[in-house]
Amino acid sequence: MTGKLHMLDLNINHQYRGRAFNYELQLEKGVHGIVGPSGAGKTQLLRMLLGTVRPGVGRIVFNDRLWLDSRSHVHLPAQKRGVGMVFQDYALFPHLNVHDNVFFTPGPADYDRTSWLEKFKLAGLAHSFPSTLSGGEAQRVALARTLWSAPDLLLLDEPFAALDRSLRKILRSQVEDLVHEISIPTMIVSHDLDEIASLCDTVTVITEGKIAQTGSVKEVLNHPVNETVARFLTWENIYEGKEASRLFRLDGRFDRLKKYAISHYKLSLQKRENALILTGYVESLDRRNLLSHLLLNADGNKVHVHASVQAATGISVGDEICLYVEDSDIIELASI
Amino acid sequence: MFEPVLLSLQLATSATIILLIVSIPLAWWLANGSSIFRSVVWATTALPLVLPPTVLGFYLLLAFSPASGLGKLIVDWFGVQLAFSFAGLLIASVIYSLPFVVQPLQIGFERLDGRTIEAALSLRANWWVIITRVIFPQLKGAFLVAFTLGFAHTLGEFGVVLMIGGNIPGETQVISIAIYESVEMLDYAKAHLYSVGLLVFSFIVLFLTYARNSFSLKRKGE
Repeated sequence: MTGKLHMLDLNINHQYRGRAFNYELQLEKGVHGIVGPSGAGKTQLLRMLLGTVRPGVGRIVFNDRLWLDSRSHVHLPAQKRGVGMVFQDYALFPHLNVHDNVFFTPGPADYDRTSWLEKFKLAGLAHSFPSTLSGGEAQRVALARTLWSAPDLLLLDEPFAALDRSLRKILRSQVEDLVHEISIPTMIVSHDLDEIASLCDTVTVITEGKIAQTGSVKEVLNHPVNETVARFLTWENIYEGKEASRLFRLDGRFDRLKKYAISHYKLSLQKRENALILTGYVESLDRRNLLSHLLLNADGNKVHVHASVQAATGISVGDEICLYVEDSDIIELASI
Repeated sequence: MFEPVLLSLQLATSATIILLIVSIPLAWWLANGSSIFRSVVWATTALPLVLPPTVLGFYLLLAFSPASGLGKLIVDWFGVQLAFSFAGLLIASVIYSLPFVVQPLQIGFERLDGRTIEAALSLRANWWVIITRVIFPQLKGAFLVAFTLGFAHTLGEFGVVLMIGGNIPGETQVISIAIYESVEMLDYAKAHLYSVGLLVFSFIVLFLTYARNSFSLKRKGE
């Protein structure tokens, strides 16, 4: 073991339905995303952290507390780990109304129950049963119930998967505010990269039961370590070449070619001879929605730009950046 | 006059209690188990649904007879003769009513959302709380149907009772046998009294059970 203590230190080998899962992960406090294709083993990992799936071999330490050690036969039961989990379909208790679902556990003694329901906009639904709730309401109940139990680690399993696109956008921003407000270490499983980019500080990519890459969102989204991760991150421009600067100039035969990838977000189209190049400083940057909203100052002119979250990950306020716009995209307006 | 009624109630109550004790683990295993023997056990449990009661009663009578190995063993060990006794009637009733209790419970266990148990575990609930506040309330309807069907079916059984118990007043003469005997003796007034009583009682029990389940679903907006 290294001398440094991590918030979460996990090393697991597990067999499930004939498939092998190998995870090795060290995480610090913050919001951490787990992404990967369907069936990669993301939810299995959450269940091992929750304590409802016992891995064959492994060790999990959270905040200096030993949760699992197969060598010394330690397996801390789920009830004693303090892990709160919001399930994909929320898993509300169908026979209990909203009030009884949220306050299933005694919760913090110093917190008022009415205020808690109001905080999650559930006061008017206290007597409703889960089967009568909309997707957004059910999600708020699940979050309110989980956070009422004051967990030390919060797990969100595809929290927006059951919602339609418009509702997903609104709720994602609410969850983002909440996760930063409560400041509990959080792990979010998702297959939506936009969700991860807007909610998480760090991210782990899982493919075929193995951890393919872990790092900051910026690092992983901009520098996938291998072709599997790049392809999962929807990078399609993957080429073999001798060196980056001579990518398409394969004159002659090479024994050992490297693979190169270019994100389609990093490529821009313009005809050089007919393009206007603007240079400006980033005054503000809002990553809240599917697109990043940038406000630039170009020689005293304000320029509003919508860029993909991936394209804007390396950019921060104060950076000097270039913009290309084709002459034909500059529309002349009639005077009023 | 009331002896067959009391005996029937005693038999139905005892059989239902034993049925619930036996059926809960059996139904759980049938709903969640992955053993290759599951289909064999399921088919065996369901046999009384399709077999004529007399077939079951005939083989149980042979098995319970002191002349058979099993019957002799029970007499030697426990000093109880099962054929033509209340104890034999009780065991036969449990076997005969088994599918009526196991199947509603099995359906209940299959429909139980396992993630609600995981959610309760993540909310730091102990197993007593999980059983009483998460699992049992979701299975309440299944338990009520299982209890009602087990009780009502035992109360109304005739073929097996006749084969195993015969017609011994105070020992094995339950209502259904008393009705049969009254009709044979042309005492229609007595037969009517028992029959109408059994009919009304069975209807009320079934009505209350289904009305309760339908009210419960309506309340939850399902």
